[in-house]
Amino acid sequence: MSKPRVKLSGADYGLLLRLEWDSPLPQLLVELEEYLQQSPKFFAGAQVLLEIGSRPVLQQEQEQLAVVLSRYGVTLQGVVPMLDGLERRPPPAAHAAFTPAPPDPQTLLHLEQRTVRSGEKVAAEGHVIIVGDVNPGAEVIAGSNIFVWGALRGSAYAGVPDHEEAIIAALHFAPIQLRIAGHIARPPEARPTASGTPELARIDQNAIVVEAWERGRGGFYKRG
Amino acid sequence: MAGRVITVTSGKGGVGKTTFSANVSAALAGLGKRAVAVDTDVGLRNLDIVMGLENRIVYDLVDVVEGRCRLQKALIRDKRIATLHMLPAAQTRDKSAVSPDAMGKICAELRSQFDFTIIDSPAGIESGFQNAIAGADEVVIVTTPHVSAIRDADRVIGLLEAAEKQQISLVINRLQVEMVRRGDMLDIPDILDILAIELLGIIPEDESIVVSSNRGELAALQEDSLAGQAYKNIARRLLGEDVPLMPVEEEKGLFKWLARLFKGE
Repeated sequence: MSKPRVKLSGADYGLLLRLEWDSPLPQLLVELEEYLQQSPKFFAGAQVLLEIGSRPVLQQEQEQLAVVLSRYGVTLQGVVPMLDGLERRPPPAAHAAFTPAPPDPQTLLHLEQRTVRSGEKVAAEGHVIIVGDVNPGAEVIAGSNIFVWGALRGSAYAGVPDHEEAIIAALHFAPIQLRIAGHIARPPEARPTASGTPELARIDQNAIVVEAWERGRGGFYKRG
Repeated sequence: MAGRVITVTSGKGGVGKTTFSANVSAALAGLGKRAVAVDTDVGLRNLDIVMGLENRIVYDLVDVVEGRCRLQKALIRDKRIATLHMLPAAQTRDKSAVSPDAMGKICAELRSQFDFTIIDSPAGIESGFQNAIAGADEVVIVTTPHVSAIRDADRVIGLLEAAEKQQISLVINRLQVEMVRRGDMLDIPDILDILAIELLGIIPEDESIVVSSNRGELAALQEDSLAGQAYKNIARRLLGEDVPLMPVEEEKGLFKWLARLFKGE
């Protein structure tokens, strides 16, 4: 038999699972299973880090490996990059080292084209755009802005957790409750229905204000 | 042949699912179609009472699921119309006695025997609801013109969409024409605006329904019942006929307007 394609080795920061990524995954899975079978008791309860490097590893492949590992009581803790030569000392935090820098929420966009109904929740880190209605009992949550190209009749939480510049805009503005960053507002009890024109909510002097959308004021919610 | 399996559901209880299931099944049977009404409210069965068939039950849905009898044996033929049948729920068990898989199989079997299988679902969105929709080709949502009923209907529509049910239509039950006219009740455009699904029919409030349900008489089989007429219209619409909304009320104005709305004018 040739060089083993699967190997578990100790590193400073834990148990490292090393695979010969040039081999096809099914083969790797079989060999991993055989490897673990040799001393199942030894591995039970262990946590391993998967070393990746020679090629990108798909989420799906990771999940399949995790399934095999879990059969022997082994948890797949995360992934680490392949380190060259004998230098096996990882950067201080193995996980953090390989996590890509968090993307700027301002550049992320989540789009839904449907009616968001009671009991449903749409949540995303960046902006959320709903093309359709948000019905009473539905929740839309965004790290940045919320735009509803339709009727907003449910609850909208923008700027979660503390992005005070976030806005909430809708063509038909009749929310049950609004939150922007840490501020909460509900429409006045007396207000029967939406005004009929597009409106938007933003924070002004520590409170949420709702005002009609006016043409030519596109940049107005940018502070300065 | 392959019939249609239509589940009747609402989320909220007490909006008239069972009365609707019984009457629409009867109306379809009255139009010469082979129809079966199935009660999936295991532990709280009512459909048999509304249909007046309570004293004929020997075997039930759970007996079929658990293999104590064949489906054929549990089906009860109606005492009035030969093409109308009912499959009762078990009263002494609970929802866990049935599974979506088992319901799917029963629906498949019924589909091969009946033109219409009408499945009456329990209130709620838990396992009983999941069982009831498992084998459905189409779903009818029953609501009343009340904010809470509409909110629950909306929730259920969301769940149905998530379960990839394509054919979802709406029935507005117990509409009080006079109250709508006075502006004291949610009106139909508001309801349709929120729920945004196809309107299958509107059933006016009709006190005689209470009486007929209690007696196990079906309004849809009576000549002079206002609600019964609405059920018959819905049955005809299910058969693809273009039936305007309650022509009997047209002179009152509201229904003329409703009829226009329904035709999409």
